[in-house]
Amino acid sequence: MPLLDMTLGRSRGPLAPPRLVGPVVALVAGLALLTEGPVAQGQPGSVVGRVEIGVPISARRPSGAYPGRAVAAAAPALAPVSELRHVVIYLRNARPQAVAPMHVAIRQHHETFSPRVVAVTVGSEVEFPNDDPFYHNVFSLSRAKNFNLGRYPRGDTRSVRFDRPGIVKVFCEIHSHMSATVMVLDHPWFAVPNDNGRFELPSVPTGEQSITAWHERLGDTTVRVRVDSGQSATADFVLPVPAR
Amino acid sequence: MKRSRPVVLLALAFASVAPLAASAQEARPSRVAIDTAAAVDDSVDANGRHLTGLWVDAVVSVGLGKGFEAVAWPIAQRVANTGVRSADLWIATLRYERPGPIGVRVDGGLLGSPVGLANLSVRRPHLNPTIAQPAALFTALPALEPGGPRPNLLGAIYPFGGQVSVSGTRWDARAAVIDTSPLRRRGIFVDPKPPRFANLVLGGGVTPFVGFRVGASMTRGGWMRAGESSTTPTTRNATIVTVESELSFAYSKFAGEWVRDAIETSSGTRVATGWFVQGQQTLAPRWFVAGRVERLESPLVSLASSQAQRMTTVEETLGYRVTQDLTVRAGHRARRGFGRPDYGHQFSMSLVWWKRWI
Repeated sequence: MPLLDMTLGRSRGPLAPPRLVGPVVALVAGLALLTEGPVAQGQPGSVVGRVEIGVPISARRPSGAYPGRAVAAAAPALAPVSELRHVVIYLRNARPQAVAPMHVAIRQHHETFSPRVVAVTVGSEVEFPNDDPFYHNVFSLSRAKNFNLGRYPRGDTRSVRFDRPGIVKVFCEIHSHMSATVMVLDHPWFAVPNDNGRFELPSVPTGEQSITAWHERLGDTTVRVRVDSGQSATADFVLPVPAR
Repeated sequence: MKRSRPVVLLALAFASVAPLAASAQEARPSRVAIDTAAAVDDSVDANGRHLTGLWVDAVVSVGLGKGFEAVAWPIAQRVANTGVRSADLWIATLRYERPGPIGVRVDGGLLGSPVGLANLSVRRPHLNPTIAQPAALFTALPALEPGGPRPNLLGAIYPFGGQVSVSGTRWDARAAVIDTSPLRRRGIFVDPKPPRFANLVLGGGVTPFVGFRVGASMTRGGWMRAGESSTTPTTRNATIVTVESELSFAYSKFAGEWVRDAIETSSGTRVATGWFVQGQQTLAPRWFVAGRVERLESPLVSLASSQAQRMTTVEETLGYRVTQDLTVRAGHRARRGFGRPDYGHQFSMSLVWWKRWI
């Protein structure tokens, strides 16, 4: 079993932006190169695996002492169907890379963000179209990005460009049960599992690598695998880590 | 029966192979929803007198299935102006809701007030754009009946009763029967308690376009029991009419309400009116400004005369959202009370914490 080590803990983010400058950064970068940073040696390998969620995950539902004068036209939906689509698998401690920006959408539909979790590269734009027949007000006060898109009606959309790596928690000012997460990474080694929980990280640098599975409620789970040139390493996750 | 056997076996085999039950891989709506708010505000007036208000509350709801939900809203507070501490249960209701093109909601128990926009939108500190709440909710009108109780224009009431709401895409309507007059606040654990009065509430509104609603309501019922004053041999009724409107777009949000009370007294029907207009503008993701102008007008009635009196309040607030949960506000309030010639000024700071737990 290639699963060599498993740790569980909360992290500051997938790629917390370095706050140190000058020589300290150079020193840290040098040490990272000598120790656990991805080392490109010939043909890269890949990491494949499967994610399972071993505990029930609950989603917030509307609640309020004053629900408003109008009654909801439809019950809030939960999307996507599989909670596994809310997991992000990424290469931990990867050095920043030049990455192509992406363009994805998080729709506001039936008082739910869909998808609720997206992973994008630095410089990507995320659209927030409103599909509901009432206002939403998307905003975030996260360190990696703070924005407020104001209110806009159905059929309208606003977009946000994410220029810093980190975890951006997104909310609706009007509907407190709505939340989403944009994970911004400055390297290409990340993936969201499919509905069956399977994922693949292609073109991973060879060597000892830490692979992290992140879930907004279950936190980070990290495994270490050895990636050999042209080979496929396996990293399976059960979230959260079962008690021993 | 024989044909179903392979299907059952196949299902059993699949279930044994499947690593986890489907329910573990799919999110389900939580049965319980809890959010809490806490606020502290400190005001200083022109005489250097400090007034500190405190607020803690929680809204807890439990989904009971098939559209039913139980909601409770306990609060504890220290009122800044009076220093009075109290704890109460403002809402404890069983709610049924059926979404649809014509949605239906039924509430029964201890209800949030079915009357008034202020009651609907600003009663919790994180929802109130300014530091103070509209004065009409708490400020007593001048005496309308010599020796009798002093009513509110439209109090923050939490009555026992039942309410039915229906709505379509562009309209809403509601009817409620409550045991408390909107003119007289009545707490569950707070004394003294005014008598119970059956009041009927009818209300509705139209939404011509998203972000704009105009509504109105009428409430009719008793407000003063026979014998509450020496000049009141019979129970007196009151009719309360409200017109409310909300407009929001982009980074702006406005709301306004007009209230007219026709209050029966031993010297005839007295009329008290009032209105407020408030606005909030988001300046940046963390910054906002808000303001409210409010005016109340009511007669001061004595045995010999009746004199119209006014109260005017103007408040401006600058807010900064430190985090998703934490907001700091600074504000100024000018207030000219009933029968007062001049405005009094207060400068306030407020810290509001709100968190959705589940």
